Order: sequence, then structure tokens, then C-alpha cells
Amino acid sequence: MRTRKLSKPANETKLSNRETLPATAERRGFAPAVAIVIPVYKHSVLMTESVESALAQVATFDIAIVIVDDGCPFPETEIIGATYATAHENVFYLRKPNGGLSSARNYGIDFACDLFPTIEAIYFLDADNRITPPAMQDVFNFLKSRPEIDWVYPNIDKFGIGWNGSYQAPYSRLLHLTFDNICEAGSMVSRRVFDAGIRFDETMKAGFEDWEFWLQCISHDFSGANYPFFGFDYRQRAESMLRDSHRTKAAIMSYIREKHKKLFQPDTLARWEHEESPRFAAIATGTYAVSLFSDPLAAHAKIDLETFIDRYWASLAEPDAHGIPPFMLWIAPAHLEAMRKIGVLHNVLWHAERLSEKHHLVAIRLEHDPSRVELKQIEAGAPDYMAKKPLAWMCSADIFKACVDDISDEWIGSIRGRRPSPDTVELVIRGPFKAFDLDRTVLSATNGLLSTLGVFRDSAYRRAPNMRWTWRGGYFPPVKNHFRLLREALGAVPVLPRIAGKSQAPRIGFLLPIASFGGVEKVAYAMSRVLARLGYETHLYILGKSSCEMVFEPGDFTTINFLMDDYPLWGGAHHFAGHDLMMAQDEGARVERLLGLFAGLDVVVNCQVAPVNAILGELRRRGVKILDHVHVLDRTRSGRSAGHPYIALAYEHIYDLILTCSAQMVDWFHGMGVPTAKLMHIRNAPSYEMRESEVRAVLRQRQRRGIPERLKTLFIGRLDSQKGIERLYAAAVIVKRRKLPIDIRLVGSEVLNDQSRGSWTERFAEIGVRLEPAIYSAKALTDAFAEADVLLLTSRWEGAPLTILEAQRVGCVPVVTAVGAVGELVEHETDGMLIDTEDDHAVAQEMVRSLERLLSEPHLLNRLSSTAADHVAAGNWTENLSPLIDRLEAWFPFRSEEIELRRTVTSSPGR
Amino acid sequence: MISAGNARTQELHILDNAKRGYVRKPAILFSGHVSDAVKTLAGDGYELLKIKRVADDHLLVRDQIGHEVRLSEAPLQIAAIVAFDEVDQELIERTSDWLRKRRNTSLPAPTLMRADDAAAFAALIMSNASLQAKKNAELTTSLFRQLADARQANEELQNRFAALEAFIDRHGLQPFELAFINPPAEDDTEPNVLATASNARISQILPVASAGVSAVALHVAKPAPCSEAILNASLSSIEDGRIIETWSIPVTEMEAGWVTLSLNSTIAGLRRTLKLVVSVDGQRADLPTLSLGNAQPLALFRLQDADLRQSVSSSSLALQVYVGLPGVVPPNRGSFSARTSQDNEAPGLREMALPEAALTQAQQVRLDEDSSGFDGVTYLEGERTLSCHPPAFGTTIARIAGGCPAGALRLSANLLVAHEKARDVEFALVVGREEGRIIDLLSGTTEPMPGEGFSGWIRVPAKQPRFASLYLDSAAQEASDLYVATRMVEAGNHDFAWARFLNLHALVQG
Repeated sequence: MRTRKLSKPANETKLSNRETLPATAERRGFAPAVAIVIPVYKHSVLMTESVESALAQVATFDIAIVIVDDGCPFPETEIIGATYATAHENVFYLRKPNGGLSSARNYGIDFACDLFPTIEAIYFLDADNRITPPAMQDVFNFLKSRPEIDWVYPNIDKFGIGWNGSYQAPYSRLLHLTFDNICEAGSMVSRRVFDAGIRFDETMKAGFEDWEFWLQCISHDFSGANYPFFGFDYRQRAESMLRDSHRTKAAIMSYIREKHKKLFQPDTLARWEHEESPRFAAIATGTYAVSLFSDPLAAHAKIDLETFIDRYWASLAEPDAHGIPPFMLWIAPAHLEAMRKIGVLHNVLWHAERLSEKHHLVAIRLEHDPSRVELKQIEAGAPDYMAKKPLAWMCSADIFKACVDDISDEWIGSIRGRRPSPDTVELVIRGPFKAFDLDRTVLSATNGLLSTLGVFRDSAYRRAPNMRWTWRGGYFPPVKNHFRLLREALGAVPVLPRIAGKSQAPRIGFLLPIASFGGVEKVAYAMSRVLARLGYETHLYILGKSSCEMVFEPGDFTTINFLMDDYPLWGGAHHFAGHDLMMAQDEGARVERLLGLFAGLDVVVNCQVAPVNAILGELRRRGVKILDHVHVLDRTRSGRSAGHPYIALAYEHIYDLILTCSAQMVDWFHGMGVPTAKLMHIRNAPSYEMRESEVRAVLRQRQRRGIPERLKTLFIGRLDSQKGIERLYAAAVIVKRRKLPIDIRLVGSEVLNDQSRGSWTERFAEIGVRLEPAIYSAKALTDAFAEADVLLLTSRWEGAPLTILEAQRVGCVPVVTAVGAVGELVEHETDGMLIDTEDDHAVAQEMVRSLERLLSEPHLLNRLSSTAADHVAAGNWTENLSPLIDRLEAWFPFRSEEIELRRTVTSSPGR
Repeated sequence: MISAGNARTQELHILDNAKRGYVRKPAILFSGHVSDAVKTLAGDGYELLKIKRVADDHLLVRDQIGHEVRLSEAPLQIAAIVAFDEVDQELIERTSDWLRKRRNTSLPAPTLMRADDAAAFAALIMSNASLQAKKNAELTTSLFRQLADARQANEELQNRFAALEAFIDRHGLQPFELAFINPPAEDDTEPNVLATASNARISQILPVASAGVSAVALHVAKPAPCSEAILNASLSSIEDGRIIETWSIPVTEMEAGWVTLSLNSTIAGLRRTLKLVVSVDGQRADLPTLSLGNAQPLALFRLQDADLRQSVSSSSLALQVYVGLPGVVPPNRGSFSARTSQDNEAPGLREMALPEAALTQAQQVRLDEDSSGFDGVTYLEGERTLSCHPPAFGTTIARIAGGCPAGALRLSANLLVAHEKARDVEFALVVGREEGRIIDLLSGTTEPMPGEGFSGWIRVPAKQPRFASLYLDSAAQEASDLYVATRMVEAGNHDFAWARFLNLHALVQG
């Protein structure tokens, strides 16, 4: 006889109507889609409310309720937890040694994921909080309906100390990192997140572990969304763990920042701004299509004007959840493209943003200049103010709103004329624009602006008061102010609107005081050219002037940027080795502005901008590699050694690498206490490129010329004391007096502050030597060198002059003073002649003697000429920059096709 | 062998000898012969009771010592009911029935097993013990739940009491307020959204939190006096999925203007988001047109088709939301109570709309010399609104005869400048018995005396509704006149200054 039940008891006490709910598993196979994890520690009694609210869920799927007792010392917790687990099949009581909230949640996650393969999401319910009966069903449905999201977070409805905060704004990573933890732990998280290995950080026991959890999710490219009707009730008492956390927030945030360094990088934040809260709304003149971007060159959204109007009015009603960009721009896409082509687009937007905050309106005008790029700010009262019609307008959204609100058209309508009533500033961009670029729209930007205003004013929304409809209070900052969060996070005002490209190529910024024809800038251009060809993204920054001579190819730099400020290139309140220095706290340091301008750079090469050192330390702390490129040890009038090498010593700590143009300079730095590991000698090469065939052609021509009857000499450079112009003059006087068959060609320009000694132009003219104007183009330079037999250089001090190398390349023999690193470029009587004396008279005498010798020994001239050409031909910038490129590759394991090619070539056995 | 007659005698004998017993230990009730193994398993922890007889008023059992015990009460805990012999099955079933009649909690199922099957017996006892433990746990958790509910109810009551105390402490007694108004758009081409929605069901998320809401008013643009349809409305809170109130209104009773849907009691508890669903039962051919507000830029608050959950309009419903203390009826005609009736006649404070007859008789009084010659007062009948256009210089004053009813403690109105191009206008309400004092009260050169009241001047920008109240120092014994006044904030330009007094109402005692 087998044991069998005789009948079913009929009077089962109905303890709870919840037994009829499908969320329990008493009558069928238990296959939960959702687990509610409830960590408990010392909330022994209140936990019944959270557990009850979990049990009260009305859902079409099974729900597992996992109570994790985190080693609570109160026995009541265990009794109640175990009782619930005994009473309800879908409740699981787990007890573990105390490890903190993160550890308890993780324990619950692992339990749920291990035990229930059917789990699709986990909801975290703290033991003192509650959820409403439909919450899990509604939120799960929401999660499933949006495949692009991985977690759903609630608004905050607090009871106890009541408060209701709306978190309804579209999810923003920028906000989540820079404002506050906008996702409550009481969120539903997709299993995908846990399968990716993400867990709460168990070392974080003082709070904000949920914030850190979301940052992990962001790092894995997961995303969240708010469900506005979540049904989450947050118990708020006067004191809580969260309040404790706020007391130690700074320390916790420091840990989080360190752990998620990449997320807090300017690049990352700027990209999120572009994607989530774009800074500019560009309304295309003609089509009125609205482009929303921070970086106009990155992929961005385009909407029609009607949608933009919707957003505008929504932003007025509920600015915490809806927004339009803080800056509005009326421009033809062709003009954006024209500025991109010459590399100034980002810089123009950067300046326009700054000016829009200071003035009502910014008028933007483009003008053609074939030889240089220049940005100019023209204020009211200037003679050429508003002389021509603007091609674009920019203003802040606040000004635009004021115009929409203003029922009169008088004020804004005046922008049609030359004397606009609004405080307007003109931003003029001069550059090698094509005529086609400058005249591409039929409709003017002015009309575009005024028409847009008309459309906004006539909008049906204007009749409705801009009331808040969401009853929960707005907690988030206005969407239109998200750009300020970015500024605050970066300590930068404004932030250059340029985000990293898809290639992820490291971005290298070359900082120059001016961009004229000097050796410093020519070296920077040459370096940039090589690096750009290797796939690096190079950017030119000119801090002391707002114009730039176009002596480089357009492709050498991705962008050109001007500080366009009255930036002092020397000086400061602090002193080091006889040099005035500026520190970050000094007023003139312009920390915020420069940090904004340099935002997004991976490497900064400071090419002799002294005051910028003040802010480079901050960049270095943010992970930017800081390089200094030092060219020459200058001298004061009294002969004291001075200049950028000393400045570099003062700031040595911030430099990852100091590049020098000479081995001699390396020794100097080493002798002055800089470790060798921080020093790198980058040998100079001719600043501009020539094809081999071109060089050969010039050399052949020189050969064909044969022995010269008259020696043709060339001086090319500034007529100033550093260049030893007195010595040259003395030598010329000797040549003229002795009527030697030597022609002296003088090319260059006077230096204004040397006028006290009288005009060199006139003095040379008196002895029959005419000063020819400076020449800049590569071809003219080559012609000059090709024509000359000898290059004269009488400098009192030098670095490693490019002129010598450029002359040598085409067989022009340098006869030069042995100063600075000249001796590293010229080997006496091998590829040139060195004059190794310091006395002016002796230099002149020696120089003339050398010329006489070359005149009398034509074979010597030929030999020196061909050896010089051979020596220079053996090197080039790519070769010379190899050590730097190696270092960059070590710092940034970035691979471009060009770099791969270089690797292949350099590692081939034949090399 | 015992004959039937003997058996009867013997049973009676046994009964007579059996003592009445009360079993406190967990009892194992069995029939048939129990084995030693079973006895050993039961040990001292259980009372092994052999069932002898089941009578209506008692159960006769024999304990392990051999005593007959008469049980009128079921044992407190029943561990098992076991038949060790199939022939006793019926006895066991009857025992189970007998016990069931005396117990309100679950019983172990009667079980048949072999007398020598100790393992099966042990398993049964353990299984039943486990079930009992589970039942006990369920009971305990239900107590936890009740405790939690009580705790939450206490918290809720605390908050309600605190709200009440705050109200009592407040100056001016204002048990009811218009918390939100979305006025009808000035667009008479608005579609009949009820007719266009699928199934004639529309839904609107309200812009006010649930706590304190006492009424919702819809605006009827075009009534349907001949319709036989019923308009149903339900108010629910979204986060907890609770239907708070429902209304059923014959469409014929809905006149043009605001129709107020009053709740039985003001909503209490945690703040939730409210959703109003309006539908129509009956003929859809002749439906009233509900007014819409101006264009709504917030998609969430646009009027939706309740079934398709898609916007049916780029606007929200024109609506008013009232908040207040429980039991206060909002002051509008066309007020409809929730389905469960409410005693509107209870004494105490009540809000009442000013009678339309009084409003239609409102007349401009020329107390201000600066404004002489300017006619600014008009009653807008369809809207139950008093238009009081301010003059370019001076003040427009209208008298509403008997506008301050007897027993009034407070008079209130919504204020609106109904044209976007208007400059700011100032509004005021004044109650006074002597017309000569009105201008002094308005100019602030004199203070209100008993029986008088002055709201102060309230500045109202264009299209931005405001609310004004004046308070009387005590309930007026008899009706007096109410004066409403408007003036430009900056004199000189009164173009488009379409000043409106809406929803004029009084808080009346008694």
C-alpha cells in the first residue's frame, strides 16, 4: 500500500490574496524574467515594506525577490528574511558576511544570474525604499521596448522628508559625469550589463558606488533612459548613508575620477556635449535646415525649422528636460565649408561663442587674402565697422529669446544697416578663400536671422504661457547650460568645439608666438608636415598674433587657431635666472581661455611661447604630453646668455621632453640639471622640400657655370645685431675698398628697434650694396641660393640655422661664424668654412680672407659645394624626427597606414 | 462477538467513562493498529490518539496510556490524520470533517498508510510539519504586512494632520485653490477631439501632483444639448495604477463653459502623476466639443488617444485643476460629483461661484475722473467672465451689486490679460458699503474697515494668469457690493489690454 492523500483539505486559510498573483511561483514552473535584489543591513523592520512592495507586483512574468542580508548584526533581519523566504516561493533569503552595499548587491546579482537563466533584468531595491505594484511590469516593458537602452532609472519621489525631482531629461552622459549621479540605484538593469562583467565596486563603502556602477556601464557603451512613471518611492530621513556620502564626496569623486580617467578626459566630455547637448544651432540661410553640433565637422543631427521651434518652446517651459543649443548661427553651409578648408572653422566658432557672450550679436565676414590667414575683431566705432554685409550671424539663445519676446522689430531690424542698435561685433576672417566660396547664397544671413525671428514670433506656441507642466521639480540644470558644465569640468572658457575624429589619431598642437618666416616656425611647420603625413592630426596655435603667413601647405595642419588676445609674449611677476615668468595664478596667464583653446590635444609642442608655460602644468595633469622645442640660447645686449632654454629650465618639471636643434643644446640642458631621458636632439633639415630632380638640376647648373670670375655671395636674414650685421658691413667695406671680385647680395629687412644705429639700408647703399626685400617663397629662396656661390652668415649667436642647410642643399657654400650649433652643420673646409673668432673686426677680416681663398682656389669651392650638397641630401625631416616618432608611438599606440608603412621600411633587413 | 445492541451499550459505557480532554501537544490522530516503530517515532513530542468514534458533539479517542478521552475541542495542533487500515478510511474522513468544522486553519490531509511503514509515517510527519511551518511563516509575513501598512497609514495620517494644522494656522482660510489653469485657446476652429479619437476615448496627463487635488474642470466649447450620450471620465494615478475617481455625466447636462468634476475627497498620500481619461458612451454623432488650450510644446502633455496612446492634438485639453481640503466643493456651476454621492449640504465652509445674474448686471461706475468717458466693462456671457478694460489713464471700476454674498469670508478671482501684445495691467477686488470709500481704498489712502476688503493691486503680464483674493475680517452678515478694478501699470498705452476677471467666487460660511 502506497501512501496517498485521501482528500484535499478544503479549508486552507487564505492568508494573502497575493497567492493568486502570477508573480509567485507556487503553482507552476518558476522562470523569473526579473529579479529584485534587496540588500539589507540594519533595516530589519523597514525591509518588510520593500519586500512587501516587491511581493505586491502585478506582472505577467515571474519575479524573483532576492533578499541579501549583508551580515546584519540584528537577528530580526534574519528572522524576517527567512520567514519571507519560507512563506513565499519567489522570495530568496541569502546571508553573507558583511561587505558593504556593493558587495551585497553583487552577491544578489550573482545569485540571480546563476540560479535563473531566464533572468532578463535585475532591479535594485534598497531595504528602506518601496515600489508601486505596476512598477516592474511597466519598467520591464519600457526596457524591452527600447533595445538601445540597458537600464531604466526613475524620477526621485522621496517620502519621509518629501521631495519630488524630475529626471525626465533625455539621458546625458555629460550630465552624469559633470553634474550629479542622475541615475538612482533603484533602477532596472538589463542582464546584458551583468553578462559584460559589470559589478558594483566593493571597495567603495562610503557611498556613490551606484554612480561608479553607471560609469562602468558608460565605459562599456551601455546607455540608460528615464521612465517618467516609474513608481519608485525613496525614503528620505534627516540622516542617511547618502548624506554621509555627500560629506566625503570630494574624496570619493577623486577616486571615481582616477578610476574612470578616460571618461573624464576633455575629448570624451566634448564628444558627449556634441552628441547630447550640441552647442550650436546653425540655421542654413536659404533652406532653414537646422544643424545641431558642437563640432560642425563631426556627424551631427539636422532637423527642420518646425522641429526646432517645438524644441525652443519646450525648452522655455521645462528647461531642465528640453533645450536648444545655447548659441545660434545663421550661415550658409558653403561658408562653413570655406572656413573648414583653410582650417579656421573651429577657431572662428570658438571666438564667436566668446564674443556672443559679450555682445548681442556677432557678424561674421569672410574676405579673400591669398598669402595669409587672419582673424580680426572689429568693434563699433572702427572705420571699417560693418563696411560690408555679413555672411553669417551668431548670437546667444538668450538674446534670440529676447528678440522673439520683443514685439517690436525696430531694434533687431536695425542690423540691416551699418549702425545696428544691438551691440554688434564683427569677426572678419581673411584667408585664401575662393571667390566661389564667398558668394554662394542668394539669401543673406541677415534676412535669414530676421525671417527666423518672424517664424518664431508667429508660432502658435507664443500664445501659450511658458508654464511648467511636469509637476515634479526640475533638478537638472537647463539643457542650454550643459556647455557650462563642460566648461566647469575642464576649467576652460570657452571650449574649442573640436572633437576627436574617428581615426583616433593623436592630436598634436604646435604653439607659436607668431607665424611669420622665422626659423622656429619653419621647423614647426616641417615637423608638422612629417607627422601629418604619418597620420597624426596636427594643429597650429598662434598665440601672439592673429594672423599667419601661409608658408606651409594647407595639409600640413588640420586647423589653424589664434588666441586673438592681447597676450604678452614676455614678462611676468616672477623671476628665474634673470627671466620674468608667469604663473597660472597670474592675471595675464589666461588659464581658462588657453585651456579651452587647447582642449582635446594629446601632445603640445611649445615652440618658444614663454608665457604659455604657466598653463602647461595643468594640461600635463590632464594627461597631455608636453614638449618644448628649444632652438637658441639668446644673448642680452650686454652678452648675458638668456632666452627660452632658461625658461625651459624654470618649467622643466612640466615637460615630458625637451627637443633641441643641436647636440650642443642637449649638453647645455644636461649640464644645467635636466636628465638625459628628457632631452632629445632633433637635427634640423631644410625647412622646405625639394624634389631630388630639382636639386640635381640646380647642382648641374652650378657645375655648368664653372669657375666663377666673380664670387657671388649672399646674405639672407634680418639686419640686426644678432645676425652680426656690423661684421657683414665691415667685411663689405673691405671688399669694396680692396675692389675684390666679390658680389655681395643682401636680402632681408631692417629691424625697427635697431634704428638707433641708423639705417643699414642706407649705410650699405653708400658702399654700393643694395638691400633687396625679404623673400619667402621656396622657389625664390632656391633661386637665390642657386645663384650664389657662398652664403654669408656673421651671426653673434645662433641655433642651427635652416638657411645654412637650405644653401648647402643646392651647393651654396656657407662661410659662417662658428656660433651656437653652426659647427654641427658645417665642418670647416669640408662642406663650408667656419670663422671661429668673436671680435667684429677679426670676423670681417677672416671672412674676407675666406672669400679670397675660395676665389683663388676654385677646386676648394667646388669640393665644399658638392660635399655640402651630399651632406644635406643624406638627411631629411622624416629621418631626423625618427626618435620623436618612436616616442610618440610609445605614448600613443596608434596605427595609421603611414606608420605601418614606416615600421615595415625601418625594420626591413636592407636598411 | 459483540452484537449491535451490545456495541451500542458498550459505546455508551465508554462514553460515560471517558473524561473530557484537551490536547495541547501536536496530535497524531489515527485509526487501526499502530506499530511500535510508529510509537517510537512519535516519542514524547506528539500525542498519539486512536480514533474511537466521531459524534456530532465530540470525538472519542484513546491515548497511549489507554485512557478514553472525549474531545469537544479539536487539538490545538494536528500533526497528522492517519488510517493504518483501509477499512478505517471512512472513520478518518469523518474525523477530518469533524475537525474541519472546529478549525479555521488548514488541516493535514487524511492519509492512508501501512501500520508498519515507519519511514512513510516519518515522511508524513515531516512533510506536514514543513507545511505547517510554511503556513506559520505566511501568517507571520501577513502580520509584517499589516504592521507595515499601519506604519504607512500612520505616516500618511501624520502628513494629513500636519497639512490640516498648517491650513488652520494660515491666514485667510483658503480651503480651496485653483492650482492650474490651461485656458481655452482663442481658436474657434478647434476640432472635436472626442469625435476624432478612436473609440471616443481621450487621455490627458495632468500637470499637478495628485496630493491635494479636489476637482478637475474641463471646458466645453460647444455643448450637445440634444445628445443622449453619457460622458465618462476617470482619474487615475499612473505610478501605482490606481483609479481614483470616476464620473458619468449625461451630455445634455453639460453646458458651455467650465464643467467641474469634483472628487469625493481630496486626494491624499504620496504624490503621483494623474491621468484623466474621458470617453463617451452612446451616439458619437452628437458629442460636445471639449476646448483645447494653446499649442503644447511638451509632447508628454499633448492630448492623447487613450487607446492608441498617440497624440490626437498638438494641444492639451483646456482644463483647471483645483486643490483643497477634503469636502470643499469648487465654486462653479456645472459641477459634477464623483459616482459615489457626496453630501454637499453639510454645514461649514463652502466655495460658491458668484451668481451669473449678479455678473450680468455688473456696471461700470465712474469714480475715477481720469477715466471718465472710457467704457471698459463688459460681461462675456459664454465665458462667465467679466471684461474690465483699463483706460489709458486712470482706473476702470465695475460694481457687481450683491457680489459679496452674506456669510462671505473671502472673494477670489482668476485674472488674465487676454492679449499677448498688451502691456502689464493691475487688477484689484474691493468690497465696501459706501461707494465714496472705494476710490480711497483703491488708492491706498485708507485702510479697510469692518465689512470692507481690498485685495491690493495685482500686476498681471499679458497671457500670464494670476489669482486674487480679498479677505473680510469676519463673515458678512448681509450681502454687499463687490467692485473690481483695473488700471495700466504704465499709463498711456492701453492697446490690447483685455483684462478679464474669471471664476469669480466666494468662500462662504454656513
